[in-house]
Amino acid sequence: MKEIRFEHVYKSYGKTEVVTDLNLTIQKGERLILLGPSGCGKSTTLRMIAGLEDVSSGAIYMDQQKVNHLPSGKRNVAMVFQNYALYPHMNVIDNITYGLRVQKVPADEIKRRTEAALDMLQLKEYKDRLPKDLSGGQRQRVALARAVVKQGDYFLLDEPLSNLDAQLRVSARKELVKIHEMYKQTLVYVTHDQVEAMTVADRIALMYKGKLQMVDTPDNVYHRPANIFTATFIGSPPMNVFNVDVQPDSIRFTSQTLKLSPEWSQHIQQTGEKDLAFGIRPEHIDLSKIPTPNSLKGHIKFVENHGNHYGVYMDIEGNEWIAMSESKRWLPHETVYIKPRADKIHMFNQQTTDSIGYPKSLNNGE
Amino acid sequence: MQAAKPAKIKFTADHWKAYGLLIPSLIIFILFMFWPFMYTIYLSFFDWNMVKPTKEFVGLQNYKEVLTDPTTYKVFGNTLLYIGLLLIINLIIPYILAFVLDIVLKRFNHLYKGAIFLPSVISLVVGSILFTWLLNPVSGPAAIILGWFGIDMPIWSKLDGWVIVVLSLITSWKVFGYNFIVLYASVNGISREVIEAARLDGVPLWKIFFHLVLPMSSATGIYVFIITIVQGLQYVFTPIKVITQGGPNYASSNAIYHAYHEAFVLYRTGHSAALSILTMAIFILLLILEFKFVERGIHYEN
Repeated sequence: MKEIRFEHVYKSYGKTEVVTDLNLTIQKGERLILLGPSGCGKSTTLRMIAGLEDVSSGAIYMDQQKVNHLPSGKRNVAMVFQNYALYPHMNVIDNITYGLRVQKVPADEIKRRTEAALDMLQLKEYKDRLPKDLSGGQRQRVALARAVVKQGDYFLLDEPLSNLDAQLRVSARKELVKIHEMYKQTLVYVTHDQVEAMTVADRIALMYKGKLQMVDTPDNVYHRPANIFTATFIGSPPMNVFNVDVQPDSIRFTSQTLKLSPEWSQHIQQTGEKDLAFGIRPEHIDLSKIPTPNSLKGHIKFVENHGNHYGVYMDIEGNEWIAMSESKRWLPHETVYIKPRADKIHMFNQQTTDSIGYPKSLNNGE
Repeated sequence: MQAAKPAKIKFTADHWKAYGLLIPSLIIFILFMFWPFMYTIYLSFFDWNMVKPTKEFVGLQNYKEVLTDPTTYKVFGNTLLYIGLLLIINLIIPYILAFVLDIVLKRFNHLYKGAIFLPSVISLVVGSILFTWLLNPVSGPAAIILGWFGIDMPIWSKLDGWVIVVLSLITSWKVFGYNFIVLYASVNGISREVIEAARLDGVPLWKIFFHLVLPMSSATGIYVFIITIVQGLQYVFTPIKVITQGGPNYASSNAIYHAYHEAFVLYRTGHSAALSILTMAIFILLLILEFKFVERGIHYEN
């Protein structure tokens, strides 16, 4: 239950740099999700905490102590691996207790912790089985039980749910949060699944190409993305982002213009930014078949059925826009008028791709 | 009547094709394995010297002779010693080395792997001659180096015990690399995550070896165990033949070389055949014991 701190951490394999200048503090007892596309360095970051990878330069502190050269076994870290890493020749109970027995934890203590874990994860009836005789979900729970009984200060999970089917993933996710609420270890969880990240995280650390993009609460990552990558990576379908020309109180796409709210035009003026990219989430666009004031005209290319809503793909002056609608009355080739909700727009600097911030009156996210 | 009969297996074109493909190896098997085996059993009941036109039936006389001959026991004792030494050199050491190279060491692994495997590709006859020169107790480089430290190299080819140790070492020079590569592949096949999970729990390396690596690679381990015994004894034949011809006074002979010696040097085919059959019986017994007691503890991935 202690904090983890990265200070200017770099990791490279030969000439390939996988993690670049990472500065991050993981608060004690929080659930931090390391999120990002594959190859972004998130797993490497996790493995550096575990001591399974060396740090090329910089320092990692755990509980205020520099741990760059501390062996894995001394870091008091429990970890759940993507493929569970169960010992295939040991039954469930041996798998769970092996580490404790090696560490010479007293037998009655082992028994107490194991019983509790078996109960909590509903593994009692499987305790004599070998891993190969268990289903994927059961194996995942055994891996979880093995990490739980260790009662380490740090709890690391490397894509722990990626081998489960969709339903199981939802229930396993809930279980995981429940377990963490009980033990309150410092939890670091690697995933590429944004739904998992949003549902599990206290805070999300988003990585891309070895660089940390944004660290904040799920709400802020979603509603106040720090840059274009964050804005387009989080949310499905992704945010619409297009370069625009800024005029005093409006923005111009190729030929059509959109009037800005007074708050936004004032904010843009204050920041003095000129070359901007405009962003709007698909669910924040209103569609209409007839012209409405302050809307853009385009036509529908195709419509995707998502079950509870429809994804409407549109062509507006050669750009592809996506909007979400609950109505099924949108048909391909029809003309459509779209109206982004004025208080839901985002603005980014074209060069740096960083957000230019939001008008003060809107500053509380939702 | 007709309907009650179980369906007779019909020979379709597929069956013929299958047998057609089997025949070449069947012929080889029958000609070089099955037939000599039957013929050996047959010969073990006769007194014959390979050239006499007639074979004299002697019943179990050959077996009686083999079992009362003190040389037989000496040779079987030697065989056991060979097996013990070969298991240490060609199973235990390469097993540990495979573990060290794969899991403990981080650098120069490729170099070590190559260097260790290389001798396996060289003929054992060449190796034997090379080693008689290297280990020549008077003029060989090993003797000279030992001389610097004031140690006299034993005249190993003339000493009981020593001769077996040296011949085992020479044989190992050939077998070691192959066994190492096979064991290395098996150790290497163990999921890294499993080893990492143990490292996170602070499991010391020797426990990782005995508790995880050994059981998880045991299927290959038992294979190497058996081929080390069987193949090792056959490979030993070459250096025995090249260097000592079983001497001095049978001190370096093993069961297999002795059978050869009886048949093709002394021309006592009956005696040799009986010895071969007894040797085989012992090995079959060992295999049965292995299946009964060891196989149970072996972990197979599927």
